[in-house]
Amino acid sequence: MTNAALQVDGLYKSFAGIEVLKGISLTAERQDVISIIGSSGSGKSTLLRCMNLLEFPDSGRLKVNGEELELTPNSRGVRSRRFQRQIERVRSRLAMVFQSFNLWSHMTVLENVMLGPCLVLKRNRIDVEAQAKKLLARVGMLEKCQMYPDCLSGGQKQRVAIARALAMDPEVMLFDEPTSALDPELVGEVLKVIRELAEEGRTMIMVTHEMRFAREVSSKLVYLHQGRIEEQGCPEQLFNAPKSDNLRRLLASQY
Amino acid sequence: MDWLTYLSFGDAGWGDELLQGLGVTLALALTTLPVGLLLGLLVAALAMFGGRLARSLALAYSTTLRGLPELLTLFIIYHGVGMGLNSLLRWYDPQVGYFELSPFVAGVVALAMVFAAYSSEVWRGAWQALDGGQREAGQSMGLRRLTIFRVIELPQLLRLALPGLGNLWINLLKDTALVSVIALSDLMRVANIAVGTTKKPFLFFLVVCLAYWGVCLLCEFLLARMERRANRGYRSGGAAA
Ligand SMILES: Nc1ncnc2c1ncn2[C@@H]1O[C@H](COP(=O)(O)OP(=O)(O)O)[C@@H](O)[C@H]1O
Ligand SMILES: [Mg+2]
Repeated sequence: MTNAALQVDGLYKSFAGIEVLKGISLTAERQDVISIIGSSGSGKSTLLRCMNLLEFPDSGRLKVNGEELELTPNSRGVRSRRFQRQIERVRSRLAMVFQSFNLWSHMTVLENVMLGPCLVLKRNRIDVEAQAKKLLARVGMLEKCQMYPDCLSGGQKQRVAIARALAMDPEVMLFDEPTSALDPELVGEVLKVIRELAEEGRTMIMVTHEMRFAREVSSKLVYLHQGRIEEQGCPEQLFNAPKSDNLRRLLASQY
Repeated sequence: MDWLTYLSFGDAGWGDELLQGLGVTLALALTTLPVGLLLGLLVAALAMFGGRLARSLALAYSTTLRGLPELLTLFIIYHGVGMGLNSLLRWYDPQVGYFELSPFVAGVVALAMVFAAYSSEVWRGAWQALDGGQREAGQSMGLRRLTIFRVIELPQLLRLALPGLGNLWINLLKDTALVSVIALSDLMRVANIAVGTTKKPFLFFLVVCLAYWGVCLLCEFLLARMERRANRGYRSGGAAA
């Protein structure tokens, strides 16, 4: 088997005794665009956050670009230096775009985009700045590169956040409801950027409620229900002929 | 004698003494500040991230010192600690002479302890006002914990803590006057002596008043500039968005 870009296997996670993820297995091959849908509270965010270890899974396997992480319950507390470095390495290959943007509020747009490449990838500042400007131009935010996040609209913030993620040149991009915090008229500008990324062959995993968008850009659709993958497959199949009653109900409520 | 003579810098006037007193006051405050800041940061860190024992000790420290009158804290440090040190010294070597705790050191220690107690609360509040999402954004790209603290959390922490710390600094400047009771010749004590000798309370207290007020005004001005600089890029003065 070739090395998948990201692979999770038998992932379990509970909070305070309540099981939120109940054995999730999911593989993202290179250039896959996987959309995760599901009703609120089904564990979508938790799954995404387990992938880059913002949450530490209780058990399961996680493999990023061939590198496997040892996930045991006791590796959650005191970690060896080596293990911590491994986590950081894996995280640097997976860029995350958050629902609430999470731009660093005391830094300009340009500084936000430059920080990761400078401090994590340890690349030369001059190259980093040139690349950051290129990325900001791409998401249409170059003119605002000296502004601070607080002065931007939600759509602009999210485009900066995407540029910041791209600057890490990640193996896989993770999006957690990237348009859910936006006013309806700003959703389009962000989806347009994500669509372009999908078309250029970026590997992406995204949680979204934009069903039409998910249907158009995804290579694979995953339906999460109460911590389990209830159905997955190509978007057409899931949208046109869902096998799961729960999924059918969700789709009916969304259209 | 007219008032200019009273304030002149010669043998007859009190100008040089007053200026020296102001120097002592400022030296005391400026020495206390870094000690108090660091001690406060330590207390705050223990209260937030320490084990159970460290946490309750830190809490006890800040509630106790905020509960005591500053003057009492000063007496405890100056007399109490001085006595303790002496009995310790005599126990170690009965021949040793009496060791006097310098009023300046006692003043710095007492004021720094008080400053730490109050400022630890300021640090704690600032830490809690930080936006956890921004920390996660740092983690999610593989930044190390210490780097996140240095480049993301610390600058925002300073911004959030600045108004509170500025307030405490102004208080500290004025609290230094307390050390005049342990015979340290700060501005307040010099003025008192001058009044006792010359029987001109109005003149000297007016001068001292203007001196404290001028220094505070200067500090307020500098603090306002620092705050403006720290708030650059933020639309309102509120917590990090
Ligand atoms: N840090 C946490 N502590 C406790 N419970 C949590 C935490 N994060 C998520 N949960 C719970 O896990 C469940 C799934 O949450 P989440 O993954 O955010 O769902 P979704 O993103 O699909 O809406 C919810 O019931 C939520 O309350
Ligand atoms: Mg969610």
